[in-house]
Amino acid sequence: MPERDDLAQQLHQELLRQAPEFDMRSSLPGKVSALVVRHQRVRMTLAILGAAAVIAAVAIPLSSLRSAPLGHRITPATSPTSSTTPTTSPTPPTGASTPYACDSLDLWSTPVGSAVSTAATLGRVTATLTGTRETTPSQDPALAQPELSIALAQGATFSEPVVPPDQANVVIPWSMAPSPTGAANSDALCLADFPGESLPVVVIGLETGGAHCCTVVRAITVSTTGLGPVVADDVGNPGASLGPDGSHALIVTADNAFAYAFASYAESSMPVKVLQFDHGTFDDVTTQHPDLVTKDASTWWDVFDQNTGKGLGALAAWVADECLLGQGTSAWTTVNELQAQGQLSGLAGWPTGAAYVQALKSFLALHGYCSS
Amino acid sequence: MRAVTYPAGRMEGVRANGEGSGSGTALGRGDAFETAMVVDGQKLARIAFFLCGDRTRAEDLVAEAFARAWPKWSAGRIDNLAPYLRRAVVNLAAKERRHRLVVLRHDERAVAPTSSPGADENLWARLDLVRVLASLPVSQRVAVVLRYLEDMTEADMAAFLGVSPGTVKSRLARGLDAMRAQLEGADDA
Repeated sequence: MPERDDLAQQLHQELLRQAPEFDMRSSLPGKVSALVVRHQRVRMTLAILGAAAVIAAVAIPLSSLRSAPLGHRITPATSPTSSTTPTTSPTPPTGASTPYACDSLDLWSTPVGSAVSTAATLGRVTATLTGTRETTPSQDPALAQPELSIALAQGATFSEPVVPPDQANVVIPWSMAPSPTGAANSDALCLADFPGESLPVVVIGLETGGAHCCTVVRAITVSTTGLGPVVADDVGNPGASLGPDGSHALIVTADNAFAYAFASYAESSMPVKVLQFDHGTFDDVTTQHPDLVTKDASTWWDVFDQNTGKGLGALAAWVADECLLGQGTSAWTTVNELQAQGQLSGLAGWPTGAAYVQALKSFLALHGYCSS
Repeated sequence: MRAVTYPAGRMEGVRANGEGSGSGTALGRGDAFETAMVVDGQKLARIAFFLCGDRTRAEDLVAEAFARAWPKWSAGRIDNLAPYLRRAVVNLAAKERRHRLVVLRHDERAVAPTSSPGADENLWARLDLVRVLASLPVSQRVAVVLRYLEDMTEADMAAFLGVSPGTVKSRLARGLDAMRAQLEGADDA
């Protein structure tokens, strides 16, 4: 057996020899493009809600993602760009009042072992999250001994430890605000005005670890006598952002059920999902925001249209959105026409053609989008 | 390269002292970003592959790293793209929790391990290095890949990982010893 130094020198060559050749030149741009669309979608959605600051901050305009040649010649029976006029339109925030407030917490640039603190104030409530920067065995920037403190303007204060999500054993903050960069691990502590609550609600974003999973959104109500129970919603891969809906806040995310359902993760598309925290629960209020769904549908149709041969994940999200808009019948007509024209080809290992149509129908029925 | 047009953002007109894909702004931010996919994509994929043990997952991780980098890069908040991407890939891959399952169905080696190398041949060729690396704790696996695949110095690794040089030495020594033990086991077999 050679000495360790000799073996180390040989290891480099053997690692290179055993590494496969990756054809990143042809595959990477498409995957990155799809992921950029997905990452930006929540923030673009928020822009529709009228958050002017958010609009200005979003670096990637939707229109610029539509420049690739059309891969499909069919026009959807219901044009996503001209579909139903929204029956309701979320009111943009007026005046200086915004129904949520967040504060930045940048753990990436904080040395391990340093004390960290972030605070957000909304109305009469100030929330403070403190802890010590630690690094998990998997290199995640996390918070040790995290504690949440709440101070009311009248002087009452409450505090409690922040426990890790069920799926994790550490507290890894995750952004909840539509920050300009979308930087992970910033803006994890927010306060938000939700209907039914007289005081702002504490909203904390956490990550459970893993390349694609998962974001947990927590809400904790505040009263003059103390803090309410921790209510959590595991939103999965897509993450979530707060946004304004008139005088109240919304949580905009996407339906994680679509991840890996009809394509690899990179090629999957997840339809928009809007949550409202109301009387202690996260309610799905997506159908109350048809303008968001319309815009979302338009995005996914374009992604499908530009990705011949691997756009079936986006098509699934488009059909789901159309179903939410009450346009499921015309959407299925479009899908059937695509099938008849042989345009439902997809990735190896995923359903295509007639099998895709059948799988999609079953999937959307199972998840409550539409029955046929 | 496939014709994918990246969003405008602030791609235009950023001209400086760009070189390669590092701070590469001579071509503009958008062009530099696409150049990085070509120049750095293969290298990043190799890192991800040996950290997560699966070719498809490695490609996904690299795509995820580029997608996460784009908003910051386009906004001018990343000075040097290549190190940022490497860090993102390592962090994403290190978080992979399913690596053992993935490795079990791994069959994507470029070259199969050699069962009986000659006297002058590389002894590591006897092992499937993906499987060997998967048997190491994540911290040791990351250290071995950065040192022996990426050829990073221990000082650079310490800065990159945010740990002391002594910790890097320790992780490397333990990782290499564990791998060497498997090599000896293969030798005895």
